Amino acid sequence: MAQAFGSSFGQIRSVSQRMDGDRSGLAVVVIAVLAFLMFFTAIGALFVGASEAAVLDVLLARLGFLDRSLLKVADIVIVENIRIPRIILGMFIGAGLAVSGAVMQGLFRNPLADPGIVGVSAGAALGAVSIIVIGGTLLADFTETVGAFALPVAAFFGALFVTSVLYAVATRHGRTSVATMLLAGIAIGAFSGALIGIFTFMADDLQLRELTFWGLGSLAGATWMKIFTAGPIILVVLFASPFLAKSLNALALGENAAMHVGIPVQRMKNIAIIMVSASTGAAVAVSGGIGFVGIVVPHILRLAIGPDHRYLLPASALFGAVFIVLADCVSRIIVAPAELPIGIVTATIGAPFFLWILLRRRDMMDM
Amino acid sequence: MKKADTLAKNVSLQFDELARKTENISERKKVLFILSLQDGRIMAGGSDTHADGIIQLAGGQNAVKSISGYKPVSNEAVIEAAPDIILMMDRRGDHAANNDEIIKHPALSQTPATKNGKIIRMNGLYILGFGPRTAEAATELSAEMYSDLSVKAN
Repeated sequence: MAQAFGSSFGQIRSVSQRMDGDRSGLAVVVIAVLAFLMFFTAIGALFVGASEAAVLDVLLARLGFLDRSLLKVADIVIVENIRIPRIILGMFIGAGLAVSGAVMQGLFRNPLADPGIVGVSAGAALGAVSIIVIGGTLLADFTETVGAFALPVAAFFGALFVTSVLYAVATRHGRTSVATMLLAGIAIGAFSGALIGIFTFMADDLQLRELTFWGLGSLAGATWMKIFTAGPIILVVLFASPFLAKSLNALALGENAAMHVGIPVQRMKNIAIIMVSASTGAAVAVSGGIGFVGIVVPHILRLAIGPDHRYLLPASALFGAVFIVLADCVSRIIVAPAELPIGIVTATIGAPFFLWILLRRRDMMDM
Repeated sequence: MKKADTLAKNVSLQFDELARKTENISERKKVLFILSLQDGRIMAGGSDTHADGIIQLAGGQNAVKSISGYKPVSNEAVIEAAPDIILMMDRRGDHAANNDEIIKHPALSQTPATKNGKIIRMNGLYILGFGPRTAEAATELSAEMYSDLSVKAN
């Protein structure tokens, strides 16, 4: 499947040998290809899994061509309640993380920025780990009230809490300093890390195992319920992000320059930070820590279609969705009947692929 | 020294008794040991685990023996494995998921174990501790697992 990516990039390369100047024509082609690719990966992923379910029959029955009562109940459940929710949730998460990454890199004017930079990942991890370790004892009241959703709820609010603290630290006289936020983010990240360390120290063997796996991410817990709770948050952000595109483009010139061309910089920062923390918080809450998507996806696309956010943001959403759905296919079957955490897959596929693209385009990076 | 001898003797007697009880089980039930069900993700005990050991002692077979150690298992694989019994540790705060979560779970809800209400919870240290009480624990687990058989015998 990585080969399919490689060849499509090869085509794109041959379409346009000259990578400088206006690349919007190419960008439109890339977006169309990615949309196409996303559709087919989603369909293809339906047929990938640990069991051999009669996927086609279930789909045909859904469309009314087959009698549903003739099918095995297990097959219907596998397709409709396990695989489809997993694919849809994966698309939401991939798109959300990739767009958040692109927005953060634009806002911080820093290629190393990822969605975690506003403290989301650290906060979510803190929330999740505290439920895993003290959910049954100190936080028993909370876990009992919220029930099965204790972990995602705690992760989501942990993410929002840490982001708010970071925002408050970085904002003075109504102006948010991006540089302060970057540095304070590192400090708060380290502090959350220490708190997580305390929980790790307190944890028993079972809990250690659980929190390690949580940190590596998984879509195994995907249900329709999770799609209906996390999905709308991510969807709002996906549809809102193109409205930030022009402002992010102007911001590339520097904050002052952006202000002088009439961009309401502070308001834009607020919107971007709220958007990113909400969508990343939602994504991390339901899937755990899936790394590398927010960095690798926007960068690969920048190398292909340039830094114009009007194209970069929608392309990131599509490519992020494709990337996660493909990675999840690998994590579902490579060690079946066990599951390989998806974070391992995204990094082992993503990192070398990213390096390969970088090596081929080294001269572009120096431009 | 004498005390130790008595204990050792008792334990091996208990194991003999257990072995006698379980050797004639014609259909070994498939048991899925769920270590945790945090956030809907099943972490199960595969082979080379204490859970696997106690299941075999009790005259059952591990539903996911192709996995080694305690690992997250795929929902689809759980449906395919079709365990007759779900075994969990009982813990304060019901850490390893209550029945409601199991009934609503997309994969666990489809297993014969859930459909027949064969969800067994036992103290973790008792069943997984592998100490002097193990024979007793395995006997108790076996009785729970094959309760329908003993009903027939009566």
